[in-house]
Amino acid sequence: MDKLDVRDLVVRYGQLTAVDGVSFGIPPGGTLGLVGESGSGKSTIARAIVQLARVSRGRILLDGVDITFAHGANLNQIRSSIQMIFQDPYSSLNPRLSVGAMIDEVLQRHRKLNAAQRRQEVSRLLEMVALDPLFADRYPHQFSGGQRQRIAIARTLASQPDLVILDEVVSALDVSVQAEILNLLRDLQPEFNLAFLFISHDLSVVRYMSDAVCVMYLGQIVEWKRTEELFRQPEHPYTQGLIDSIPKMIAGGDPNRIPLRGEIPDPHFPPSACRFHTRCPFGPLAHPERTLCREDDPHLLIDKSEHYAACHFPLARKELAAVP
Amino acid sequence: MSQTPAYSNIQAGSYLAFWRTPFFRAFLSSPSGFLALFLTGMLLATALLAPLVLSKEEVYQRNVRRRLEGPSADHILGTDNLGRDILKRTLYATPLTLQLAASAAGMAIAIGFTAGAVTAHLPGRLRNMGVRLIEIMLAFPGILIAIMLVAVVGTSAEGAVLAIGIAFSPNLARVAYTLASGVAGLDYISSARVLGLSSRRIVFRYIIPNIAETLIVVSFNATAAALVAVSSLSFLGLGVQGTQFDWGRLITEGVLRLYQVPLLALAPATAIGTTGLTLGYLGEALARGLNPVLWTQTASVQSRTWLQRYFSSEYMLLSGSILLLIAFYFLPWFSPDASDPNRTLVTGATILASGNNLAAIDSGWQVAMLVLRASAWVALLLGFFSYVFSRYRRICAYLGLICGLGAGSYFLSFLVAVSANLGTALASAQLGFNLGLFATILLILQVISDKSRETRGSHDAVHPPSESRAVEAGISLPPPLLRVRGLTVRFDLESGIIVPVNNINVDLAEGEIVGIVGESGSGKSLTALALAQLVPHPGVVSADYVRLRGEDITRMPAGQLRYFLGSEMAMIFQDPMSSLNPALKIGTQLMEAARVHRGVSGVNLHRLALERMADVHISAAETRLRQYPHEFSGGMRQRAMIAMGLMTSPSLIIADEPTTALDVTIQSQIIDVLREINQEQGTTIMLISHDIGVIIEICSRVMVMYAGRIVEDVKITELMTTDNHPYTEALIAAVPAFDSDRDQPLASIPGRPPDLENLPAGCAFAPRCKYVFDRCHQEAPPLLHVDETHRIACFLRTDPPEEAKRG
Repeated sequence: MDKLDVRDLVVRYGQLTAVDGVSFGIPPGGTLGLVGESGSGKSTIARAIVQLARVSRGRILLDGVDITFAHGANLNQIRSSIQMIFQDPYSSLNPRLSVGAMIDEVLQRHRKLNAAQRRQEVSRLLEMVALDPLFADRYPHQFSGGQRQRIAIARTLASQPDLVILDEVVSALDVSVQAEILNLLRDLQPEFNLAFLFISHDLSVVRYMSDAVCVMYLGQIVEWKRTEELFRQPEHPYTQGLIDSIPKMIAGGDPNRIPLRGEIPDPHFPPSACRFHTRCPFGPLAHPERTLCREDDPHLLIDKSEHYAACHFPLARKELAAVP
Repeated sequence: MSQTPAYSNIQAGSYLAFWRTPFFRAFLSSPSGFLALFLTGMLLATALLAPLVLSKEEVYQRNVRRRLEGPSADHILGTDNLGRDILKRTLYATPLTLQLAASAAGMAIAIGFTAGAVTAHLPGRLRNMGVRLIEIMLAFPGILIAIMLVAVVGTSAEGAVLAIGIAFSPNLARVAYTLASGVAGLDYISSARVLGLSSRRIVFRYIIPNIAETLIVVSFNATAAALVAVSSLSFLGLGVQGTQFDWGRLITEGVLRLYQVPLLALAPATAIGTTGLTLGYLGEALARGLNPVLWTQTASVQSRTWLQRYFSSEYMLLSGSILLLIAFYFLPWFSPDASDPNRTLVTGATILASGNNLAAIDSGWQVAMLVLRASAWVALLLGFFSYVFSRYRRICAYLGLICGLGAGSYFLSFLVAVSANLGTALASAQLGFNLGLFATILLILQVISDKSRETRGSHDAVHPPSESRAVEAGISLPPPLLRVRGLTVRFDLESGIIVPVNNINVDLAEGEIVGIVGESGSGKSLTALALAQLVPHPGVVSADYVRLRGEDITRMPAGQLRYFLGSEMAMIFQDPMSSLNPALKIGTQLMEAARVHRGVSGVNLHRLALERMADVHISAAETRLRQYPHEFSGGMRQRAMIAMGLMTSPSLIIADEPTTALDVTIQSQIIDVLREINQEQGTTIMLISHDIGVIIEICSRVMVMYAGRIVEDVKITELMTTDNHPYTEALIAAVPAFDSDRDQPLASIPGRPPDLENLPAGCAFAPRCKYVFDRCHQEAPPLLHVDETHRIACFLRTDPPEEAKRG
């Protein structure tokens, strides 16, 4: 049974459908990557799972139990097993609480420990994220971005979760610090048998962290695959475009890349049928005969076997010429 | 039993004396804290003691024979129209006035904050209605509503309090609403919810502490406003009734005789003013006390005594001059004219009040008073000026100090002269002059020592050995587009001097794309700002020269510089939304620069704008030019910024993290646009980024910065093939590559980015370097050529130790 199972999730903000029928699962101790441009709905999914956003339709199952509209004692139980770490370590820590106090209050809430045990636990958690236990006295403004993110991780671990949602946790950090945080997360994962939902716009980071990756476009999943395969043989043109957009450490840039044109359309008025057809370098823009893309919505089939791309004409790059 | 972690000393509550708690230290961290403490103490003492010390007879007993007298030994501030002592009456009114103001403010705060907080948590439509209601009430001046309400509830002290409490609440409700709804959307509130903390805890530990500062300041200002309002109502006869009197009623009595006995109105007015000031200072200091950022900062500034801090701040001037004025106007001194049989007390106010009739007053005294008054005003103005224009703070502070010391010494010497029966203005003036001279010399000495401290500091930090010479000795190329020598940016902070850009030497050839890469705090962005002469105060830019097209922009007069940079250089920043003016159409902004700097106008200007929009691939340019920045997406705005930069056909574009705020897909589009511009128009580009991947993709050369210095300058084609600076190596390794082994941990750079306030001796990267050897800790490696186009600042590469050569 999957740790987290999301089925046909829809989240609407007024007229805007931010997440439109998304389904995925994360096995215990596994990592699912969620990538896409800003406006693709990745963060909304995260917020829906932790009940910061209202689910309009669909179900969210934790260990097979429906938690979509959990409340009261149930919700409290869920709060301790699902945790989330935010993007900006400068705004996600309460500036008015010392590090020790902010971890301590989570322990008070979720663990039955006395004061002395809690103090000991705070030290242990700080050591676990490679911070000096003496830092418990200090306030967030005394720390660098990387250290703050470590504090956020320690606080998260305090409630002994088994699913952690990581929403762009390294995108505000310098590259050197980013590597340290990613390594730390990967070290902690087996130790606590944590399942991760790793949200990022940076495919190279997602590749390093995830077992499988969901690529999102305008509130829908367009491709879902195991990581190695996704990067070896992407099928959806959007995935290919995202991969091509990443700097490849090749002087002058990768000559073979096919750049994505235009920008993500206004989610209030998503394009009809395949939502990507207005930007697709392999769709009707380049191949007028492919009218199907404008007429029929390609579906992502969900049935636990291999992998999927919601595309009428999955990529076989070599054979097709893109828009020049 | 395991040992108790050290943080228990706060958690478990150690018993710190009150004045040593972080709260109180932060409270006093600014001189206004001392002022607040002093004034509040005085005010409370007055309010508590006045009714005890002063008997009812003293303030109510009429004595018509001595009505409307000026100040004398019996009646320090004179008497009113019924012969009662003005000072005593003013002091006696203190508790009642404060009580009324506090109750009115308390009521307004209770109503306002509750209404605001509740409104912020109402569901959608109700909330909108609530906000509209508050705003409608805000449209009427509070005091008008108060007067109207008093008419309804009846004129009495209680009525006035009630009316003001209600009338002032919308203002506070609006503030509370804005603060509460602002905080509620923040990440740490979301994270507290996810952590499962209870609503009560979120409100009391997360929301209130984070808005408390503002609420406190607002509350105390509201109390001051309520004081004025209560006094106004009493003044109008709508407040305190019968035989009771507060400051407002005292003013009513005084205003009628303003030209006869000005002190009658001035005394209660001053009391109101001083109390308002006290409340303001107290609110500010309390808010500071609650800010944990200051709890720790004060600790680091502890090396300076509060006296030193006081004298280095503008508060000294403000408070000093205010005290001087109070002293001048209200403190009584004996008239020095010893021959006067009725030696009376005089104050500055007496002199003012007596107009030209100064016969009783010694002329020396008069001169002294004039000098004192003038210099107090000058000092006050300077204090205010320095407070408003912090840039000229130091100059103002010195001038003010000279004025203040001069006046003080003049006055002191005058007193000395009088008491020694010298009796002549001349002697006193001489003494004053001497003291003034002494003070001036002291000041000059201080200025000199300040200067020498600066130059010594900069000498230590700024000039690494032989770097300039190494460059000068390098290969001479044809004169480049941009040639920079010894570019340095220095910040003179409380805690010391930091040098975030340290002696940068750069050549940019025409048509190059050069990258500058480094972690945050490496000085890369400041380098760009320094080149464009945009470094914010208090940064100081110095350079041997910065030659753009052969013209040294550091020696250019300001007017010419603006014109020259406006046409030759364009800057593109990270956040296009904050660098575009939201109130102007994109087209207007685009055309402005070209009109000013290139003299293009009319149809040509419009056509040029369309061309530039096409250059950056903005379609439907005609429509787009008529739109406002908020109608553009992030990527479009960045394109528009680039188009704007291109309007003057600059020879150099400096792009500071132009793609950091954008999605990877848009990033690669913007990179393509920059590359095209470079190829088609030959524009030289300096690209600043923290992402070495972006740099490699587009640049022909990269300069790596660390702790304010260039540590490597290398062609991109050589970057991967030759030996690099260890920092460059580490930067490249830290990027998760697409073909790397996913099971291996990512390479990271151990340690922390450099702390500019505590740079190690020797190479700044040494503490994080895996090849470090002894010499690295002892001297800073100069930036040297290892071949024609490759410069490295690392001993390992330029002058390797023996074992490294063998190994």
